[in-house]
Amino acid sequence: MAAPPGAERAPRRWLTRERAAPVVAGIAILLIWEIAVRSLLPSFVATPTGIVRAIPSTMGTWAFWTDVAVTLSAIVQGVVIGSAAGILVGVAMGRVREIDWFLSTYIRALYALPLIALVPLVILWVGYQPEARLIIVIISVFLPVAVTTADGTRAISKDYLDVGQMFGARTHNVWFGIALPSALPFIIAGIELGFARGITNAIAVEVLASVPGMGMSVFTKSNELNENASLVYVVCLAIFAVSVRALMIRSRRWLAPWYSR
Amino acid sequence: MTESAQARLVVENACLRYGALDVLAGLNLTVGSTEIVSIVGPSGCGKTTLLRCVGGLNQLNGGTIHIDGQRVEKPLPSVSMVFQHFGLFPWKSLWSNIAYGLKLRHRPKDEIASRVAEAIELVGLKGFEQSYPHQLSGGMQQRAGLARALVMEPKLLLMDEPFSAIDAQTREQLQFEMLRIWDRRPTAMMFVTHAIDEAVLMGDRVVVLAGRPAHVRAVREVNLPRPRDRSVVSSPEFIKLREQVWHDLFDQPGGTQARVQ
Ligand SMILES: Nc1ncnc2c1ncn2[C@@H]1O[C@H](COP(=O)(O)OP(=O)(O)OP(=O)(O)O)[C@@H](O)[C@H]1O
Ligand SMILES: [Mg+2]
Repeated sequence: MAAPPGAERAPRRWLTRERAAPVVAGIAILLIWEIAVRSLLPSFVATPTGIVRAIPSTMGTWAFWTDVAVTLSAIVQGVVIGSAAGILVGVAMGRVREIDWFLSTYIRALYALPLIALVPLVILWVGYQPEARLIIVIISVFLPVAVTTADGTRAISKDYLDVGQMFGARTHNVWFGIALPSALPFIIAGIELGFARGITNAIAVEVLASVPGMGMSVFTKSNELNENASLVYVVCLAIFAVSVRALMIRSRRWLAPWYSR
Repeated sequence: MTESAQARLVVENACLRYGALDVLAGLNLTVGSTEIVSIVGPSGCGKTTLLRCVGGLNQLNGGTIHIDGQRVEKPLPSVSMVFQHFGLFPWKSLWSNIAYGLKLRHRPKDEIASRVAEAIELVGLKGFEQSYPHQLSGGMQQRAGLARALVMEPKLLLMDEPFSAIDAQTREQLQFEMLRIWDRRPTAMMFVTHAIDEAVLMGDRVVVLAGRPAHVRAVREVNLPRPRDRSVVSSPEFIKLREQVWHDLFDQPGGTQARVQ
């Protein structure tokens, strides 16, 4: 195909007002924070410059990278397992009414529940172990993915089903060849939500069950009145969360380019 | 049809209800093995319903449909359908959309490749194999829908207002292309349309449905020579037939028009 007309417009400007605005706001917030803490609060309270100065001593240790590795790998593992299970159960719920009857009420009830409430229960089952974190992350991801997959696969257009039927699709062709791909945008949204909840709940488990990791270190550093170091962890978590979101937006564009939003 | 031995499709005494609504009652219709039968009728009279029953997508409440002597109870592999809204899968490339039916029937890879290439060539979509539906115009999407049906080498092709969602110029182009494709490989065809011109141009017979429940109000033989090209449209026979079908459709029952129950 020939290039569409107007393809050789002036290159888009990198620095636009829209992009500059959050940067300006960020600098203003950091400045106010710095000035407010220095003039009003005790010296152990974190400041932006304090956090920057704490980076070498915090990130220069093995302990820091071990924390990052265990926490993030647990989250990623949980997301993979939870998504896979959520997709399977979700497709079954979306496509088989009877399965929906049995499961829907409970899955939707749990989905609405703050999962922190389950942490003590999970600790009872597995003890104060890292597995408690993994289990909570799996559940955190499983629930939204199951719900969005069920909704997405239930709502497939009749047009697609007709085409499938006309050309000889069997049940499994409909499930995995039509329902699943047409529900992809929903599923990705579910995984995105699950990821965010997984991060939150992983940190919560670490704190509540004293499982070593980034969340526990945020807590202990803060208890040691080393707020700056504690916030280095928080900033890293924030960067991780933002990258995950960017990754999900990208994967939706890549996997479901027809779905414009 | 007099030569019923030649009939590919035989609809006998078809009855269908949606709840309390009688849509079809005692409808009879035959289509010869290389015949194009156009179906016209007021909106909501049951054209789509009839076509879907022939395709095996809907079930009759009474009467029978046979294709080459085989009773239709589910979609038969020898029947293909072109849908009004194209029904292409947005997550599949054009090539994969067209190969869909052959893949479901587990044809050998090289056979799929050659048949799909041929169908793509036939509908004039060469070069767009790797495009996705959302990147194509409506006309191109319906060409793909046509290729997906033709690649199955159907003995009966069902078309439900295939060109009604397409702009007027492209529609005209596609009508003549459809005729050219049929000339190359004549096959039985049921062509549902709203447009009287189109019905006369495409059909060997025009069947006018009317009433609630729907019955065959009139059948018009179209003896225009084939292959048909643009000059047909201005011929006196064409204009006369168009007029007759118009009266069949819009004159009140009890007038002078031919009525067949
Ligand atoms: N799934 C359904 N449930 C209930 N009623 C239906 C259903 N499908 C169609 N109908 C009704 O059956 C009648 C015939 O519908 P059908 O779609 O076959 O008409 P049509 O002739 O194709 O109309 P159009 O020209 O507008 O496409 C209509 O009155 C419609 O409301
Ligand atoms: Mg219709």
